[in-house]
Amino acid sequence: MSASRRTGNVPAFVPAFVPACVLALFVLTALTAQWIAPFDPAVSGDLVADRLLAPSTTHWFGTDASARDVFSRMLFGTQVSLGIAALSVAVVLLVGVTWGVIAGLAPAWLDGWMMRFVDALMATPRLLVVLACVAFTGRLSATSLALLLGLTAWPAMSRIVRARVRELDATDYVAAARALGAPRMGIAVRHILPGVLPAAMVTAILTVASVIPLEAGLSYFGAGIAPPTASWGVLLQDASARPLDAWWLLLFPSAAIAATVMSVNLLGERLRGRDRSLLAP
Amino acid sequence: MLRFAAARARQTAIVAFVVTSLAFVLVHAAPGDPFATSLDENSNFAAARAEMRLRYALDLPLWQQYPMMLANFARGEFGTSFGEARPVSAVLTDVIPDTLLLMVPALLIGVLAGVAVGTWQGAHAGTWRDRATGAFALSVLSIPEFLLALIASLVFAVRLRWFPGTGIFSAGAVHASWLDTVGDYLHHAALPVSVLALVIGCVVARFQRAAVVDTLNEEFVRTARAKGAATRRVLVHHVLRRTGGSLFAVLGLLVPTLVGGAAMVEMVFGWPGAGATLVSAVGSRDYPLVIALVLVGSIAVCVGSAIADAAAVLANPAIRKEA
Repeated sequence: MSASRRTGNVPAFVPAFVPACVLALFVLTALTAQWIAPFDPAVSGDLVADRLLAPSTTHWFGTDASARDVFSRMLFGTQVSLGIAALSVAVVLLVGVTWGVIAGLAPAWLDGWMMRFVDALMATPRLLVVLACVAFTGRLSATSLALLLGLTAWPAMSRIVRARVRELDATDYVAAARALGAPRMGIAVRHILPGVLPAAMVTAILTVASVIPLEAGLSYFGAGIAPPTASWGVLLQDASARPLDAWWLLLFPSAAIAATVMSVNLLGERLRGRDRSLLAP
Repeated sequence: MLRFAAARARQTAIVAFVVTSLAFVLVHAAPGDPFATSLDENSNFAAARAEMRLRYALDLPLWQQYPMMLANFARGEFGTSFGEARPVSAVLTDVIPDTLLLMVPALLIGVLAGVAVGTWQGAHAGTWRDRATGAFALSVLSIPEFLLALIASLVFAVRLRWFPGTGIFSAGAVHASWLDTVGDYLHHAALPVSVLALVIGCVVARFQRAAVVDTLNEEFVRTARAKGAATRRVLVHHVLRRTGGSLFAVLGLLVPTLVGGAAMVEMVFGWPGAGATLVSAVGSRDYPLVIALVLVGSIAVCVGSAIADAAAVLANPAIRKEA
């Protein structure tokens, strides 16, 4: 048994396929919610007879105060929460990688300014910025919340990408390409970008672990996406009115959030290996 | 050290400028009005609104309002809170000490416990106790802070009634002596401080464990062992001194996240601090209060990170070049 296996952190002892399967299950659920949901998530049942039913064979996860089926709402909530995470990570990848590659290849003065800007953004507490935006624009749609979360999360990505670009820029094969007269743009896209992507993907995965709790928290406190669209956070907000007598309203969204974040963390750390430079954002 | 301080002061100024400008743009780009909710449609709505807009200088052209706001901020004047009808600075002096009463003990307990547990884990790396502790830390960190706070509040405050669920002092309580005051505070603070300290402790323990595992493989540790130093002495005198620097650096990076987490814990426990106030100010569109709280929060984060980075350099002068 190698030394790294003996002294490795928890993730090293969990086979990588476990978190991968959990995540795949959630993604599959999100993609097929329309077809597997037994009830319409937005339509109330009998407001007297079907209100706040405990989990049963008809309503697997029970019903909420508006007599809606919690299982169906969870399925669509998965779609919304994972959709927000995917879109914001796409923004992080797009902006962060572009910014990082440009800064890494730019002349020193421009690189200095670009990185100083990144430092300033990283020193700004994201929750405050997002709350301030919500204060002045009112409740957001799922898409704009995702864009907002993405636009506040890319600086960590750009810092990691820039460091990797500087390393690659000093390699012999890039020097060779330059000696052969390859255009700068061509070197950046054909020779440097592919080398940056593995680190960028790991960072993207770890970004999901920060976006999902943030979205859930914002929605829980009524500063996230506007109802009737239900994300996991919105479902938790529904639960907060009667947390003790209707435990199923609280349990299922909480478990979904915890399972997703934990799987993402396990997978991300596994892929990251022992490379400390890929600090979780 | 002076150059370091100057660089950080410049960075703080940039952050403050960016955040205030962003807030200013958002205030004026957004539709809606802070006075819309407090004025009834039946009253002389348009006239009253026009008067309020005039009084709070919301009608001036933007190129006049913006420098005016910056100049006022520079003098420490944040205007009047629309919601609380008193100067924003008075609100700030009320809520900031309460936030410190939550964050400072949580940070102290969390960092100390995290370092202790992480070092213990690192010294026993690979044993089942190390793995169980690591799995526990990872589980805690997979649950958002507000959810941990909510669960703690439901179990210990609502169901078991061991601790009060909201506030920093009992409502309307008259304390006979300062000892009573402290006791009341401790009773209220136990849950929120524990939740926050648990989260901080888990983050710190994970970094500390990794740092200790790395450091134990280094030559100077082997030398210390070869000299016959006891394990405890090696850990305290050699390993902890090395890991201290990177720990402070990590804490500096974590400050923005911690502030966000503390705000969420405050909201769940109805702690009358800056975070809970910010969220209610967001709800009521109390622009001056929101801008001031975001500004103060950002500056506090910059100062916090700067202190952490300075401590990192002091603990390990080898990383000075990066400052």
